[in-house]
Amino acid sequence: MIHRVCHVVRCAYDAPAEQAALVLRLSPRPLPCQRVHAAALRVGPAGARMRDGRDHFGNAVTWVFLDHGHAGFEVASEATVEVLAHPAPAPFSTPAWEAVARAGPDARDAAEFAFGSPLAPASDAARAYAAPSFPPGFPVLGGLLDLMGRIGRDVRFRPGAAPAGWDRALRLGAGPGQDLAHLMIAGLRGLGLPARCVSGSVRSGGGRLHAWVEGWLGPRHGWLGLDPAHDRVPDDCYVVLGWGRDAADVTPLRSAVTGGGGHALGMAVQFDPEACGLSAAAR
Amino acid sequence: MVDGRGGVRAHWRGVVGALAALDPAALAERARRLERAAEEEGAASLPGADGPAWRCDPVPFPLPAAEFAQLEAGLVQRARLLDALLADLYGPQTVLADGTLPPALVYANPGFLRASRTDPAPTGPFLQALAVDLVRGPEGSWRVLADLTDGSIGAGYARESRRLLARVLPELFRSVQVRQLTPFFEAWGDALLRTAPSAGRDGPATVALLTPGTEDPHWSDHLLLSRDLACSLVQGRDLTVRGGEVFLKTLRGLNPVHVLLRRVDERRLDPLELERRGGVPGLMDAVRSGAVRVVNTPGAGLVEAPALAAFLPALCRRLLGEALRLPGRPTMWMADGDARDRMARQAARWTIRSAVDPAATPAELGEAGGRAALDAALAARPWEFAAVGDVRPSAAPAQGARGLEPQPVVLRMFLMQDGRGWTCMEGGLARLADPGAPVRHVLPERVVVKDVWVLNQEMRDISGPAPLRQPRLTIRRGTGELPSRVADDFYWFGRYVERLDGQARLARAALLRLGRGTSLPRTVAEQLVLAGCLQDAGLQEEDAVLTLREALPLSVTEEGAFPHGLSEAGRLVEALRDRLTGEMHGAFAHALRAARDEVAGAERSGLDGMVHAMAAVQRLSTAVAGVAAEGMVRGGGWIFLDLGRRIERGHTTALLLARVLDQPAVRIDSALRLALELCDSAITYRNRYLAPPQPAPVLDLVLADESNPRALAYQFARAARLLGEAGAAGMQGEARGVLGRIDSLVAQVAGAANPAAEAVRAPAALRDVAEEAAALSERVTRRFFAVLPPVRSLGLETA
Repeated sequence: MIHRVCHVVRCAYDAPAEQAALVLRLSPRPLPCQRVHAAALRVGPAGARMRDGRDHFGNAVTWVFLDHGHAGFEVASEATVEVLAHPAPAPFSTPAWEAVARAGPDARDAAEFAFGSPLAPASDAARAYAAPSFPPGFPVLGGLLDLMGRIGRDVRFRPGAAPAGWDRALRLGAGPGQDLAHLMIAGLRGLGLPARCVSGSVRSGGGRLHAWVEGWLGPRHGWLGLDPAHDRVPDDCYVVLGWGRDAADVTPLRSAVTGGGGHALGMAVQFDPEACGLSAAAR
Repeated sequence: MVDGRGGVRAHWRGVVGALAALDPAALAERARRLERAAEEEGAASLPGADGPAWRCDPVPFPLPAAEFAQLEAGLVQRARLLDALLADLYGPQTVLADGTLPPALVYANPGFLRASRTDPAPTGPFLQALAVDLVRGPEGSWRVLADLTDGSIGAGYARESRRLLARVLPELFRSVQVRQLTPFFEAWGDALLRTAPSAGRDGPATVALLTPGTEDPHWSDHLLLSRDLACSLVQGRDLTVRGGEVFLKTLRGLNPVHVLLRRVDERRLDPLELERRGGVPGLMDAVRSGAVRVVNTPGAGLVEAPALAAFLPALCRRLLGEALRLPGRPTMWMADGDARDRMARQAARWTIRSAVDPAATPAELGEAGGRAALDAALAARPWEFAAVGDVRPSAAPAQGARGLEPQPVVLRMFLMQDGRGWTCMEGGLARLADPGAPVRHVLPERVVVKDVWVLNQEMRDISGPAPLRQPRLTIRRGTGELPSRVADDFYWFGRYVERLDGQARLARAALLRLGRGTSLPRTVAEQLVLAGCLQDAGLQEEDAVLTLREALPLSVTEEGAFPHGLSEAGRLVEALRDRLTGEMHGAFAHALRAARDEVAGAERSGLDGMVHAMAAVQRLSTAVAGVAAEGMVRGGGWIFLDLGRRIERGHTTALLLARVLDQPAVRIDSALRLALELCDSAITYRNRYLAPPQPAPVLDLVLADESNPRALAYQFARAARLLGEAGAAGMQGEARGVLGRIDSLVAQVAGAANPAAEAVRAPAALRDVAEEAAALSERVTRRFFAVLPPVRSLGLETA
């Protein structure tokens, strides 16, 4: 499926700021099953110093520096992306979860995600929650799908809510996608299974950025997407921006603003919009 | 010191011989002189409640040339190994791919800074400076205790210990040939200059030492090192990144900085990409582009992980193709099943530590929850833990309470590379360890150090590297290069010292009257006026119902005005230490300490003790005034120190006289007398007029006489001159404007038919003058110090 997707961030300060520096992760990541045909990033006000690169995880990053006084900023990232269907393996063809847990900490592409991270530590509580999905000898994908379904049933997906941590979401029985993803990741890491956090957009996502999980199925099958918020394996309606150990590694925008007082920050995601660009004010 | 057969080791003989010539009392005296010398040199920081951060032991620690050569070879290999390891871990990670190093030690390590493994990547070597802690086991061989790659403390202490020892115990140096430390510091300074990016630079490169500031327990070391390397000492808030380059904010504008030797935690360098609090936004970008070189590159702390010691022999073979020369302390990584078995069998011989965090305390390891909790954590996440074998450092003689006593010693050695190879300092820092306590990885907050002597076997000429060719400097004068923060600190130091002086003067006047009793109506009226003045000066609460007798003692209690002012002044003296000579710093510190002690004592000794304490506080201001007048170059710091004093005195004098003159005209006589007393001008008046006080002459003396340093006009005339020198012509005009108003105020009183009635109308105008002084201070702050507004972190979340 081919998407034209547009991510727009707008930030207005109460008072003009002297300087701002931004780190943006708003460009879709090229992948074997996600071809990026065109991508462009525009920043207003004009005259910003920009540098493109890749972060440690291989995600596309743009550093932006606004060195002069300004009252706010806007970023528009537009891309044409072709996402190919990528069927999941049959659950019973995947190895037993214990074997995956044993292989994880030494596997080159999975080791990093086997250990706890600041927002998704390898916690005992999360492990206790996840354990019933993984009876001894159970195929890893069977356990992953079961855990995803349980989270979807136990914790109501509340899009747009402020993230409050996976433990709070579990206690409240509700939370945004990020908290659901972190709950699943923390539980899997508690069992020794590598898991990572993906940021991206879903065609039916209501104009919001979304976060989901990728679980590791062992060296043969590699990584597979799992979206506990919608209880489904991501298909070609999902556009991946990037991944990391938890949402903090893939935050779409991080900035350090010198001065400026309070601020209003907002973001919108549009699929196949009429136009994608900066408002007249920012140009 | 003693060899296996109970004899004195050969290299100790010279030192021991020289020390033996001193009896225990003489040695104790030398130890005291060492401490005093450290104080005079301004090397010891202002002691807080629990003493100075470091102290130098009079007995040096000798290393024979052959032993040093062996150690040096091992240390240089270690530096090359760690540099190569960092380059690999922040680059292709081949040692993870081939299994030489388990990924957990990197990926589960908070010291692995992912912001340093980007594309584009930071330029230049990861490691340019290294310190290594070693202990000598009972068998005589050295073992590495820890590698310090994230800003090592102690090189400054080492050099200063040598200087102090040479001053206090010169005879020691006559007995043996000791290698010099100077060449190492000169070579290091050159190496830092050489590492500076050269593109787009026409002037000389600027090197700065980045410190967290005075709150760091080892601030003294930062300060001493910055002097030895001849670089400026800066804090994060002095720096800004513009156009991808790093600048120091000075009075004249932005000065480029090319190399930062950091003593700030690597995670606190850039709020944009590392921890959100502290640092300079955009610094990591400048590191990546090569616009600035940060030494060591952020992320170098990764190889401080304690568990790494278990893998270094294999890594050394793999990365350098050599056998590791210097053994580390016995270490096991607990993710290894065999290690857990051994640990279970010989628990007493091993100590559990974090595998990755060298600073983690036993409590952070979960030991607070008891052995069972730790065992559970070990079983669930064994990769987070390492077991280290006990090491017992050998002892060396040190000055103790009862003369020379053997004490366990940890040796710290320093290395740096200049792009061609590594150099080891021919000396170092030995520190006394607590006997019995486990040897800590980090320098404790209070440390007793020993100068390390590398002994020369024979005379040889010491040659450093060829001097670096520097562009010719143009002669500069004036204030421009002063960092804005330093000017700000000088200004506020001046203001605090002057404020304390004014408060002490007032308190003394009040105490004097309390001693006299309160029967006369004039005394009662004076006390009321003084109570108002004390309120203005912050010595008494606005609506307090306390009498003077009750209120004054409150000002010397722990939360009182005097301890507060003195501690602020002390903080500023510390912050300014790199801008003062040792002598000046010593003079300020001495006066501050004396005032602090007197004030602390006054809390117990009643009103009489308070009078003494006030005198001590006033001596602080005298000391500062004297040092400033005689010792400081008339520029930069001096301008702002004096400006602070003038503006503060202008402000308080105006308020004071407004209170004093706010009287019915019939009481004008007593008001004038009080004005003369509080402005310290009674004697001048008497000598000048030989007559009782009259309104116009008194007001001329305390308000308009520009030759009277206590007069209001003097403060503004002086401030105007200083502002002119600082290049602020506009503000100079404003200060002169105030002078005109003071003159016309006095002229009005002099020309009035009833001068007394006119004089008591002055308070309104005087309050205006006080406000002008406050407004002037605001403008000075905005014009000169304008530190950047705070940096805030914004972030977007996914949903």
